[in-house]
Amino acid sequence: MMSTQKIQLMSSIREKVINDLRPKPFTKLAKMWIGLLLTVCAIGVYAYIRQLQDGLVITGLRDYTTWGIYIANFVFFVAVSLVGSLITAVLKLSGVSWRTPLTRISEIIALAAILMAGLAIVVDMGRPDRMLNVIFHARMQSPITWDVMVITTYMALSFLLLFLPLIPDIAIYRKDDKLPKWLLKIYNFFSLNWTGSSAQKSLLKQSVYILAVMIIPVAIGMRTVSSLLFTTTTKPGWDSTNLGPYFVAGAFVVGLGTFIIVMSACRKFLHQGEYFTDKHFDYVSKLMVFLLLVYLFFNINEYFSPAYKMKSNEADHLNELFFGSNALMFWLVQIGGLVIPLIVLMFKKGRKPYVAFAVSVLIVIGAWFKWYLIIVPALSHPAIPIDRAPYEWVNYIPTWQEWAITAATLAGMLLIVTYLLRLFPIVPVAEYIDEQEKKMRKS
Amino acid sequence: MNRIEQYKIFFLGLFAMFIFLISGPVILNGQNDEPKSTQKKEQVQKKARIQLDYYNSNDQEYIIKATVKTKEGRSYVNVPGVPVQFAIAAEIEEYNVDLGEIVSDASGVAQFTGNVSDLPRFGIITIKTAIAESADFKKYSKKLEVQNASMVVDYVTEDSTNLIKVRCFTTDSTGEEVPIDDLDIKVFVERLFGELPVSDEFNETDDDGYVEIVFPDNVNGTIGGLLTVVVRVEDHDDYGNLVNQKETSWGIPLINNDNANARLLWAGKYKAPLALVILINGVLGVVWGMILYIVINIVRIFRIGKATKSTMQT
Repeated sequence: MMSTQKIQLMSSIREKVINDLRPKPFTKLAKMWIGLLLTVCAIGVYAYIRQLQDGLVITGLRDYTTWGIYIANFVFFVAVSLVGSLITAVLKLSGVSWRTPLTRISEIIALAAILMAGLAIVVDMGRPDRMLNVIFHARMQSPITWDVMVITTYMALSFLLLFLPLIPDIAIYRKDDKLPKWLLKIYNFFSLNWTGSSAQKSLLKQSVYILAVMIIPVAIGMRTVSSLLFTTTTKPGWDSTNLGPYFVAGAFVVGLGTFIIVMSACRKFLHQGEYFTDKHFDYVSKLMVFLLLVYLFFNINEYFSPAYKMKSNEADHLNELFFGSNALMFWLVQIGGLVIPLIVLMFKKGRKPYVAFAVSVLIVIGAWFKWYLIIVPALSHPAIPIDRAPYEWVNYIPTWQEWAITAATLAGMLLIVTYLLRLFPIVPVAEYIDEQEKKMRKS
Repeated sequence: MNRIEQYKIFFLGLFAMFIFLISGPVILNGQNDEPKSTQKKEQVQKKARIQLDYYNSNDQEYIIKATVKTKEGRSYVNVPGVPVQFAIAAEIEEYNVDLGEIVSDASGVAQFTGNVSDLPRFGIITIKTAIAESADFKKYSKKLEVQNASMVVDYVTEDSTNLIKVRCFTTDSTGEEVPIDDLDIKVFVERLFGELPVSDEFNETDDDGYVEIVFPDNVNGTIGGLLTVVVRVEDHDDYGNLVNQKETSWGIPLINNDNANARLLWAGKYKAPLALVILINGVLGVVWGMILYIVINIVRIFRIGKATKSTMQT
């Protein structure tokens, strides 16, 4: 039997948590942030309308570089979306207790990123009106077909993984007077008559568990299929058996980096330091160190063997990366986006929130340019070069329209994250309260 | 400032505005859309060049090919639509024939075709081409001197070996054949986008103007093993280009590997390998089956809640 004092304490904790995590209206700063994102999106939409009118000729894409920053962006978004499976699924199944407050943010990032990945592919299409042909005229033998299938599946799983744990949370707030009525209507609809009965809890727990188990192979499969888009060709730089695990490792790194950035923003601007503590930053940063080491290992594998052999068709590509026109970007990405973050995060002071945030920014920027370096230089050095190819075919320079559309998709992802953080509790309230109560009971 | 001065300034202002408004359209009207540099260029006549080639094909017809070029920047580009005058002269019998005018085609080539029998059999033949002065080009002419040579080719099979027997000669004033030695003979087969060389690098005619070339037995042909063999003397200083071609059955017959009904990785969408179809659909089926199960669970959660609420209400 619990003492009355304990029950009172539990009740007060419950009230405090509900009060702390109640979705709050946008502040002036948040509105300015949204205004900025909307402006970037509007410029991107204008550029995309131009692209629809004139075709892909307004981009820098030509016969050599048929995949430019659009595909780099697509691969980046797919990578970011893996954070959902890492934090929610891997850590959940590993029995890590400190991950509870972090899951909601990771699920929101995952959903926003995978939605934008889908959009990034559409903008790369010269004829988006034929988009459904990818499904209606799909060849089962094509990695592009597999990619469409696996991304759609991951999108569905990410949505469910965000939605299911939300049900008890929004049920808590569905009659909260302090929230606007339109939000209460949404909550009431999506709370699915949640009463918190043991039957409902059991079904929910079972469903979330199935999702957590299932999303890990699907996430790894999605990333591997993305790598197959490259490795099933014979292009120098892509013709590698290492690319699958390399892509998975890189995706976990950039996903976690994005997560740390968003968590820092929530801590700073939503004043949730109590839920995203220094300890959380320390743990997540340690996890990042482990992931960076794995990623570094695959990086060395990816470049060392081809560089040692320097086969004729690979040599041009590697020389271009190591010493040529892409060398500055390559070494900045490797050192600034990988080695320096790894060294900084190894030290305790480096795992403090502000430092971890700064390091994560480096990692994420480095990762975006890393996908660019995987795609563009490889395409610039085809196995069978075209005789007397024009300058603009060999040298890909993205146009302002490409940059604007790419920036718009990035802004779009941040916009989705911002709105979802505004609409729903940023920490799984019910699960968090349950855990606190269990701890109390044990103590 | 009195009122008259004010009016003066007012009318001066009006006048200035009027001039400004008028000058705009006048200036715009006087402008050409094209940049000045282009206009200047157009006034200057360009120098045209002609690349002249002579072909004797199967000792039956001759072709005079004039490629019109002009320099743009650092490189030469072919020019279409330029009239080129053709004429032939020979040092004997006061042979002087005006062949007429041909306009260069889209690839800048003006080509004349005639019968070899119309040309003098011996002596030097002078092929003359010219571009008349025009608004675009300066006057230009180009000559090419060739001798009428014959290349007789026999395509024979001896002891299962395919042989190409080539004999090259000219004719002297008495009508006697004069063998041509040291002629480099090349053998090709026709392919879709060009000619595939199949002979050794050095096949030179001997003192009798004769050479025998063994045709390789590993060249792919059509379904019936047909091949068009092309024998060439290329760009010779004295005789120009000599060409002889014939369709032979020396190729390896193409076996039509009909994979249309096979399930292959590179087959059409309806012919994917069965293992792949089963694997992909199996994995998808399992995952989407689970997703469906979760959706059913969501519906069950909703119904349980609804039932609980209605129980509580009653």
